Formats: sequence, structure tokens, C-alpha cells
Amino acid sequence: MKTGEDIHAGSRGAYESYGKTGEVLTRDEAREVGEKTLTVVNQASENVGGYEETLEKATDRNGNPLYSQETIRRMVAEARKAGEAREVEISPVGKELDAVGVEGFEVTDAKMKIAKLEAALLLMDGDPVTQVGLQRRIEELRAQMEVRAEDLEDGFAKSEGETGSQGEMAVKYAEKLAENAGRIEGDGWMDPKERAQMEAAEAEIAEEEERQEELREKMKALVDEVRNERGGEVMLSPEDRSAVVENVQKKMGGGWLKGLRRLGVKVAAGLMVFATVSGLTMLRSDASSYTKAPIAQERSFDAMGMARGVAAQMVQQASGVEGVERRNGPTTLDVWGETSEAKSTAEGLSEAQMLAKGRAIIGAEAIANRPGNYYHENGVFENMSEYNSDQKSSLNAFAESREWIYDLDDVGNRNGEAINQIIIVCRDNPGVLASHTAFFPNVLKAAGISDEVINIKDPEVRANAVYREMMGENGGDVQKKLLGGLLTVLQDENTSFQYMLTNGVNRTFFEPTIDQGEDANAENLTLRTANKRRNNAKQVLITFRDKDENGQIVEYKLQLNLYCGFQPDMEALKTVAKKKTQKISEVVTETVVPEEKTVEEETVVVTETPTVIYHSNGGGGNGGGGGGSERPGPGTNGGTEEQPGGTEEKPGGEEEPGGNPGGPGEVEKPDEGPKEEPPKEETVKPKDGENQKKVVAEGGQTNGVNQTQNVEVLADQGIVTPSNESEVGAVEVDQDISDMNGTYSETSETINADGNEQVVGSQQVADQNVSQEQQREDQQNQETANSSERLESMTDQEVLDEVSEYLSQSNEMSVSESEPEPEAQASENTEQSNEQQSEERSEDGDNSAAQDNGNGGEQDNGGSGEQDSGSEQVDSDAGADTEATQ
Amino acid sequence: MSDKNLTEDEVLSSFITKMVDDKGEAGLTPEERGALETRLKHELDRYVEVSLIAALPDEKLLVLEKWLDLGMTDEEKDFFFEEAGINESHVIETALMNFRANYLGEAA
Repeated sequence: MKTGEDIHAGSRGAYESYGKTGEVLTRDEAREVGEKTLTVVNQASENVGGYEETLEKATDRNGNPLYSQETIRRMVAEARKAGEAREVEISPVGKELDAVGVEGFEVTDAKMKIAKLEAALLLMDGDPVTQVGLQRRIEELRAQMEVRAEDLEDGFAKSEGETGSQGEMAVKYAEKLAENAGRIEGDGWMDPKERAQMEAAEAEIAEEEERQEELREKMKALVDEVRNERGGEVMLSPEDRSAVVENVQKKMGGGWLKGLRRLGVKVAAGLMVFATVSGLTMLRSDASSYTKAPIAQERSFDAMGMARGVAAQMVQQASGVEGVERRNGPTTLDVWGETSEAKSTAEGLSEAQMLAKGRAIIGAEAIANRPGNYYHENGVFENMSEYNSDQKSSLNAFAESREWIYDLDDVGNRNGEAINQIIIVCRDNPGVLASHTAFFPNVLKAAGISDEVINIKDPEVRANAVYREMMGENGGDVQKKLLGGLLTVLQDENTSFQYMLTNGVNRTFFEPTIDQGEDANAENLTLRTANKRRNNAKQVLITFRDKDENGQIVEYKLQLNLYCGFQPDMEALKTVAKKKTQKISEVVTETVVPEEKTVEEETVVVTETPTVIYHSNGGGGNGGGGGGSERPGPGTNGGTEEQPGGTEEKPGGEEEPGGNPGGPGEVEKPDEGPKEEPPKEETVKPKDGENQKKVVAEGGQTNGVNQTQNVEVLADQGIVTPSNESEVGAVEVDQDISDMNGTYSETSETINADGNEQVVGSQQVADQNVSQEQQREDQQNQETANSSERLESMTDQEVLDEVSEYLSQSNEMSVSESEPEPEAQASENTEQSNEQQSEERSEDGDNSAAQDNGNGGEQDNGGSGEQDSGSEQVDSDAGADTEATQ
Repeated sequence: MSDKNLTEDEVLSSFITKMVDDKGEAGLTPEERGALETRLKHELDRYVEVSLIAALPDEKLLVLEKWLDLGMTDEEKDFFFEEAGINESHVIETALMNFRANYLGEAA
């Protein structure tokens, strides 16, 4: 039976290590000490684990464990450091171990801790050579530990008799461990044979490094020679490149790979990684990545292959398989003059390489001679076949749906397919390329895009500015560099792909034509954005880690919507809450925009995620009509926030940016019909029964209720209706206008000039003379702004329920009113006028208004459930205001 | 999964076997099929080699050509590719995928 004094004495060491000298450890305290001991040991193990990982990396290099003398030195240094760390850690460990024993913990527990210590020591080994000696030392240590454990097991009295106290024993025990650590640290334990072996290995490494340095010098001389011979021009045309590749292959001889030790090892490793990662599922099961990808098979530049000849194959390889240029390690001679490229992909993005890749990609396509291939005078390549396809998810989608990529198995090279398809769409459609690369400033910079453009905060403005540079002088080269740079980024090892289902409101890009009705081509397309609600939308989030201009590692993100052919999605623009209740008249006052206002000034409200630069969410600013595009009336949404129409849910589970305040004809809608519609007469469009059903099913309203009455009902009852939704958007866009002065000053010339002009005039009058109608409208906006907040919190079913309720009320009212009131009659006239106006727009290509919305633009029309009506109204407002200010 | 323990050759063989299966070469005799797979294996080896060469940027490709003209040892070839900074794993993976796509595409 131990006394308190015994415990006191035996625990002294432990107290000292924890600064508790003079105090008696309770059992709980001792247990705590024991736990702390475990923590220390575990931490040590973790530290050693990191060291072990470093060691593995070093020894795995090229499959040669003794590859680098530098590696050896580093490992020795790390071993020493580990020894120091261990010395620090072991002393308290040993003390605590005995303290634990004093408190009567099982000796087996102590043994386990000893074993852990030994494991830690074992992991703290050095290079493979020293490992052998260290292992031996560990065995000795283990023997000593066993003795200690037996001592403990024999009981306290014996130990106490030998050491005087448990505390002293603990101190001695710890000192022994520290001594062992010190011996390891100084590697004085290594026997002569082992030391000789290590020295021989180091000598071999030194010799090899010397030899490599010679080779490096030889190669440097050859590089200089080649550069001199070619006058500094080391770029190859696709044809020349194909010839050189073939020539080199011939000179290398068949089967050369097997003769190369290092490269062969790497290739084998790559192959095994492929097999391991795939689990050979791809090899042994349905290869879904191929069977599910009709577009990939038909249009992938990767799939051109054999059928298109050797030359095309080579070009394809150049464009499809080239890895990121990286140096494998530090060298003393900068052979390629690109040492800095090793630091990051951003710095490694050389203009020449990007151009070469871009040439290869487009060159391969040129060889393929696909129908629709077209070169602009400035060298820009395009093939708008897919953009003009009626298989697209919506009129202004970038391309046909790529949702099938989401459905690919992970083992089916999903990332590879994503890269392929992104490059295909970007290759064919310069606008898409501009929108994607706009999120990678380092690519823009390397491609020679001006800092002025790169520094534009708003993604839409920035993308349009990039687009314009691409369509300007030497645009062909700009396009190729951007394409090559994008491929480099996508293939970079620091790039990750995350596939996800997205919900909620996002701001998204879309691509309308400037001149509706004309065939789309790179010159008459523009990039626009709109807020839009996503409902389980299949998307891929591409995250690229790289250094920014300050050398800080940042993440660049590009979130692409697969259904819409890789339209970038961003965080929805937010509305300043207090603006939501502003009346239009007030808004108009605030939207007087000085003409000299610059784009930068317009985007001062941009908010960016602090840790993410150029995230697709980064732009909070206004659209700015393509950043001052010279194109007529790109009519951007003007930095819209909660845009009308953008909250409509697509029956298929996804939406397109239905609302588009920037221009009535530019609304992108998910379910609109073919782009080319037959000309319509200027008559009231008959209701489409099927469409009405559909609209109602989507929460909309199609019957021609008395509009004025509707407003009153809304005012009285606060019922949310589809027309409310439109107005929600209208009000919110008005908020945008007030928040982001200048946004739509550049969007005054919208696609559908006719429609705008009509409403513009009306709006101007309303602005200048606040009539009763205007007041009613203002009130309505106020109410709908309030209801919008409510709407956002409602489920679809709740909206539907309210719509049904509202419909029944409306019908009752219609029945009860035997004769229309004058106001109601006026409203009907307005509705008719709206429908006519809508169809005029549709003639300009605005399918959204014509097809889905019988009442093109009036905010309070009750005849349409489509939110686009609201958005068009807002477009008109924007145009009106702008015109007024001009 | 036992498949993960396959050797390099077995991986390639499995890859080719599956590829041939997917193309629907059921009508071949065992001899014909064996010959086809052998030929494909040879072509795949070559395809991987070409892919590695094609992964070189223009300048490095030109330097390699020049060095080969001067005579190049295996050690030097090894060194060259070591310094070229190719992402071998990616090249291999892409080459296998392309080879398969090209082979299956011939039937379409």
C-alpha cells in the first residue's frame, strides 16, 4: 500500500514536467497526465508520419531511392530535426509514463505506450541506408524498454528500492530515451560498414548529379543552337509539327520506351495508376463514358484519331495530351530559360505555348473540315453549328446540353470528358471562350489581354471586353492563346472538378445575338448575364489553385452549368434591402447617369469573396452593356440582381435566365421554341391552350383577367400571382438601376428596339408627370416588392396553391361584373396592346415574349404567368431612363 | 479488388481485350483474335510512345530531333524526357482513352 508521500515522491517528475511541483497528483490528474502523454505520443507520430511521407516522395523519385544527394542531405537534416523534436517530447513522456505507473495503471498500458514510442522512433528514421542502422538501434531500445516494463511489472517496491523513488526512475527513464535520441541525432551509432555504405551511395549520387549537369549543359547548347537556327522562332505549324513528331518517332525507333529506365518506370507507374484508379472498371464493364457521349464521339477533337489520318492524329495528340509544363526539380542550369515556370502554372503560362496549343486545337479542327468551320478576317475561328442547333436547351444557351458528363462514372474519365467538351465548345464559339477565360486572369494576362480589361471587376463586362479583343486585330492569335491557356489550366494538376446539383438563384451567362433574326456568328453575338433560379441543375465547379499577381496562392473558380452548354454561373447579385421599396419615380431620379461615368465607377459595388479571386461569384457589379461594347445595343442586364423571369423554374428541373431586363428580345428561356419563328401579323395573339396549361402548371396565370382589378386584389389581399413575380423582378431591377448607376446607360440600345421604344415613351411620361396611373404603379411595385420577399420563401406548391386561389377569385369577379368598368376596359386595351407589342418583339426574335407570354410587358398584366413579361418591362424602363438622361 | 494487382502487361492486355469485346469482334476464331490483340498491343505501345513525343512543346520537340540527329544514348533520352516535364500519367491515360475511342470509332 503506497502512502501519500510515496505517491508524492513518485510523481515529482511528472509534476515538474507540468509545473506542478510540490503538489500531489490525484488519480484523475494522473489519468489526465496519461492522456496528455498519449497526445504527445500521437502528435509525435503524426509529425513522423509527415516526415515519412516526405521520405517516400524523395525515395520514390524516378524509382531511384538514392537519386539525389540533396535528398540525402535533406533527410539527414530532417532526421536530426526529428531527433531534437523527440528529445523534447520524450522527456515528459517518460516522466508521465512513470507517473501513470505510480497511480496503478496497468503495466500493459505502459507497455503499449512504450511500443508507441518505439513506433515513433521507428518512423523517425532517415534515408534507406541509415534506416538499417536505425532499425538495429530500435531493437536495442526495444530490449531496454522491455526491461523497464518488467521492472514496472515487478512492482513498486523493487523499483523504488533501486531508484529511490518512482519520480527518479521516471527521470532516468526519460533521460535514457533522450540519450538514445541524442545518439540518433548525432548518428554516432552508425557502425563503420553502414557509414561506408552511406558514403558510397552519396558518392554515387554526386556522380550522377554531375553527369546530369553535363547533360543539362549539352541540352542547353542544343537549345541555343535550335533557337539560333530558327532565328528565335521555335513555333511549329500543325503540319510541321506532325512531320517532326513522326520523324522523331522514327529516329527513336520502335519500342524505345522500354529501353528507357526512368521514363519507362514513369509510364508503367502511370499505367498502373490508371488501372488502379479505374479499378479496371472501365476495362471490364460498360464503358459509359463513351456510349453516353454522342457529342464527344462526333465532335471531340480527342476522338478524331485514326480515321482522320496520321497528321490529324498528331495534332490531336499535341492538343489533347500535353501536360503542364513543369520542371521536376531544382536544376543548376536553366536549360529552357523557364526556371520561373516551375513556381506556378500562372508563371508557366507562356504565350508561345498557349499559342501552340491553340493552334493545335484549331488546326486539328481545320483538318477535320467540319461543316460550319469559318475563319474571320482577323483569323478567329468559329463553328456555330452547335450554337444554332435546335437541340440546345434554350435559345441563348452556349451549346447543347452536357448533362451527360454529370452522369458519367467517376472512373469513366469524367474530368477528361469535361475538359474535352469545354474545349470543344470554346473552340467553336469565341464568346464562350471569352466567358470562361474571363475567370482566369492569369490566362488573360498570358494571352496578352490588357490589364485594363483584366482588372474589370464585373465578369460580364470583363468577358465582353475579352470578347471584343478577340474580335479585334490579331484576334485569331488572341483566340488561340486563350484556348491554349484554358486547356493548360483545365489540365493542370492543381485544378479540381466538382460535380454538383445546384439550387437557388444564380447569376448566369447567356449569349444572345445582337441582331435578332440574323444567323448567329461571332460578330453578332454578345455575352449577357441574368439571375436565374437553379433547381437541381447539374453543374461542374472547376477550381484552379494558382498564384496571383502578388504571389499568393488563390483559388480561381469557374462554375459551369452543364444543361446550358457550360454557361458560367455566379453568385446572384444581391439587392440592397432598403431599395426594395423605392418607387420608380425615386429610382429614376437616382439613375441619372453621367455619360462620362466609367465602367470601373459603375462596378464599385462589386463584392468579392476575400479568399477567392476571380471566382465566378466575384462580380457584383453591373453588366454595363458589354463594357462599352461598340456593338449596337448589347443590352446587358445591367448588373441585375433578382431579375424578373430569373426565378421561374424549368419543368425539367432547371431554368434558363428567363428574365432579361437588358432587352426584351434577349431573354433566354428554357422552353422556348425554335429560334426561327414564322413572321407574325400584328394582331392579338390567340391564347395557346397547351401553353396556358403549362404556364399554370408552372405557377403562372393565363386567363385574361381584368388587370386593374388584379392590382386591387393584390393590394387588398396581398396575393402572390405570377404577375407579381414579374413585378418583383421589375422592382428589383429598378433597384439595380439605383444601386448601380450607369449600368444600363450602356444598355439603352436593346435588341428589340421597337418594343423598347414603345415603353420608353410611356415611361418617360410617367417619370415626368406622376399621374394616378403612375402612383398606382408605384404602389403596385411597392406591394410586389414586399410580396417578392414572401415569394422567395414559399415553396412551389404554395405558390401554385395561391395561384389557384387567385384564379378562382378572378373568375368569380369576372362573372359578377356584367359590364366592364371603364378602367377595366382600358386595361383590356392595354393587354391587347401588350400582346401586339409582344408579337412585334417576337418578330425581332424574342420568342420568350411571343411564345410564353401573351402580355409582353405590362407589369400588371394578368394574362401571363411568365416572368419575362416583367423583365421586359424592366428592360423598357431601363431604356426609358437612359434615353431620358441622354 | 484483385484487378488492382495486375501487372503492367496484364493491364494492357485487359484493356485491349475489353476494347475488342466492345467492338463486337465475336466472330473471330481464337487464333484470329489472338493475332488481333497482339497487333493492337503493338500499336498501343507505339501509340503511347507517339503520345509522349507529341506531348512535347514545339521547341523541345525540335531539340529532341536535333539531338537524335547527333546520336542519343538511352541515358540521354531518359534525361531529356526527365527534363521535359511531361505529365506522364496524364499522357498515358489520355493515350489509352484516345486509342480506345479511335478503335471503336472505326466501326461507326
